[in-house]
Amino acid sequence: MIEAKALSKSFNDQMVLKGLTLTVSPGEIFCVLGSNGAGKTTAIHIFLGFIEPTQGKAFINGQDVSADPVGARKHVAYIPEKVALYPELTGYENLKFFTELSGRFPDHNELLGCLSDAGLSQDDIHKRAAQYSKGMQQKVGIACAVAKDADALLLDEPLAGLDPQAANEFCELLDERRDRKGAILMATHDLFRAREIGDRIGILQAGHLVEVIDAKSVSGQQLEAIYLEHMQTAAGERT
Amino acid sequence: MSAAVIVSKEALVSRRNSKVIALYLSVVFVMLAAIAVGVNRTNNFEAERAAAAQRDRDIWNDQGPRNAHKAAHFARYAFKPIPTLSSFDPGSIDYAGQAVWLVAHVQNPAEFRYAEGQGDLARFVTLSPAWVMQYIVPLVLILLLFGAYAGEREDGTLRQAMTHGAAPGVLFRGKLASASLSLLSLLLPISLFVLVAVFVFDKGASQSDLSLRLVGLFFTYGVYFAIYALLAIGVSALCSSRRTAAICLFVMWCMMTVLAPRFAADVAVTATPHPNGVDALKTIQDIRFGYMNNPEAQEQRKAEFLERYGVTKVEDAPVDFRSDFLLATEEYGNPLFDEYYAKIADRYHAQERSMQLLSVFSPTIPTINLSSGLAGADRYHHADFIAGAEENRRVTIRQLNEDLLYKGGKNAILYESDINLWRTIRDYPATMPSLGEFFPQYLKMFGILLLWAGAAFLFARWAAYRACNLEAVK
Repeated sequence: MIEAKALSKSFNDQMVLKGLTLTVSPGEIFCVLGSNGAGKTTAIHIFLGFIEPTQGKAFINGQDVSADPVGARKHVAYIPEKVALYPELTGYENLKFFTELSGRFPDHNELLGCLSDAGLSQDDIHKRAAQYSKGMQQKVGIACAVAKDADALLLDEPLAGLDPQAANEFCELLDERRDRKGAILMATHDLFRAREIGDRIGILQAGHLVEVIDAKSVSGQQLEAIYLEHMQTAAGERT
Repeated sequence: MSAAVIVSKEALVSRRNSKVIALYLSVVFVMLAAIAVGVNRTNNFEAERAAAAQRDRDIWNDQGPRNAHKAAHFARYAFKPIPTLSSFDPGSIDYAGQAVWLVAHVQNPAEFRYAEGQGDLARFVTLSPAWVMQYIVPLVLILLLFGAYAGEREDGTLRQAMTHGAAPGVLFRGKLASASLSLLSLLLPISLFVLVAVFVFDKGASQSDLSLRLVGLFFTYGVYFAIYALLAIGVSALCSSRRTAAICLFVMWCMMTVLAPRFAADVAVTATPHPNGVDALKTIQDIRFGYMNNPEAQEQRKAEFLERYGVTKVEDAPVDFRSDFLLATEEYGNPLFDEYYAKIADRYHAQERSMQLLSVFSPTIPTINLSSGLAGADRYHHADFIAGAEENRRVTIRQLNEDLLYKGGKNAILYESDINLWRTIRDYPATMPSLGEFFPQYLKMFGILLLWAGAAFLFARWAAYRACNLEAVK
């Protein structure tokens, strides 16, 4: 379970996250929409224990992240917008390294399965990461998250750089994680994917979670309208 | 376990990196060349020393019948033994005299420096394994490790590793273990080459002493390289890009490895200058002629001589007073020479204390001192040779003068000794003193090196944790 209780964060007296409270239950995908600077990445970084909240608390599987960030990270898999890999190692070797670093030692076939599930072709698995496109790197990042077999998944623009087919495959993977009772928090700009895959959608505006929507209760057009309305309101407030 | 995972990954990355392999091969090649040059130099020096010592003995034996005191002025040489490990570290061998003329009345300084014989070409760097290890290997470590943290920060893999649950401590231990592995993979083949070279070309040095010295060198350089590896990791962790880390570390190398030892030596000599050659010569001559210019001492000695033989005139004594006079000049001069050379030794001690103080600026300073000491090519070993040569001179001159006194009769000036006496004059032994005699002198330098290692570890650890924290809040 991923849980935020009145999370606030300020940088140099500027509040970037204001009293965020949310719960992502096991078997649920919660998508966070918001413009750049809305606080999506800051929230994810607090859940990862990378930054301390100014106020409030973040929990992963009931574990206070601030109290034991390294311990909390063991229960979280994270896919950033830009996955960083060691260019001298192959995709397989990168996956093996990061998975073993998290304390899991899966066998060869399981690792190959993770890469294959993430959409990396057999030909590419044993190529050095230096030869990978951004999308291929992203797929290795996805495989790393899958191989870690964590209870919670934090995704920060994970679809960026993926071709439509790979994005579809990735969504199928998320479905599978949900079925296996994983709690998934995904920050994205992609309204279409958010509605398609999410159970609930939160709209973050200038650090405030202004609305939480049941994804199945709205159409794509309705979601877009709600989102744009909030963005325009925010723009109006700024001017 | 995670640290082992990091070590395994780093080893794989290094193996895949052709630049790293080229770097290793370059060091090994330079090291092999340095060993070949060092062994060749030492063998040449040893051959020269042995030939000169034999020639000195032959000339001495073949001088024919001669007055023993004239023979004391003809005199012999003490030749400094060549340390086997000078093929590894020539230390001050090129700049310290290699022979002492053991002549009557005078304790001469050592002369015949190898640097003099090398002429104009001496200005080129003396390539030795120690030089490679003191200057090149730290640079190689910097080249291997400048990206340890900076590269990972730049590429984002540090952050990626942290999201997979790697704690700062685990990452630091992994980097440290990887650096140790790199260090060992560099140090072990080098040690093996040095060991083979030393034992294959050894000219009869004590094996146990040689082994002890090699162990000392292994530890000294192990600690020295660890210091540079830790500093490289620490600086890398402070920098957010490879380029910045490489530049910072290169500046550090220039300052600590190249400039600091030179600066320290200049400061030490400026603070406590050693006497110049003209002053030294004047003092030695003053001592030499001191007895002859001291009528009171001569009168006292004459009184003692008359009393010893129970006579009132020197002519009535069974021996020639002039022979006793020769013994007296030595007995008068010896303590004065001791006093003079002790003052010079004090100056060298003061210079060494300055160097120890200035070791806070660079671990290279204590390493250079320890290395030449363990190789048997430093000031302590030279001082031991000077002391041994002087002891030999005093025994020899006394032996010659006493032969004249007791066998020369009343008119000793006409008495001539022959080969039977010359043969009894001992050669200066060509054996090296054992390390145990000097070990206490090196403990302080080793302590300084260990303090450096401790400080470098704390710095690297602090910087590594800071890098992880900064990466987290980026």
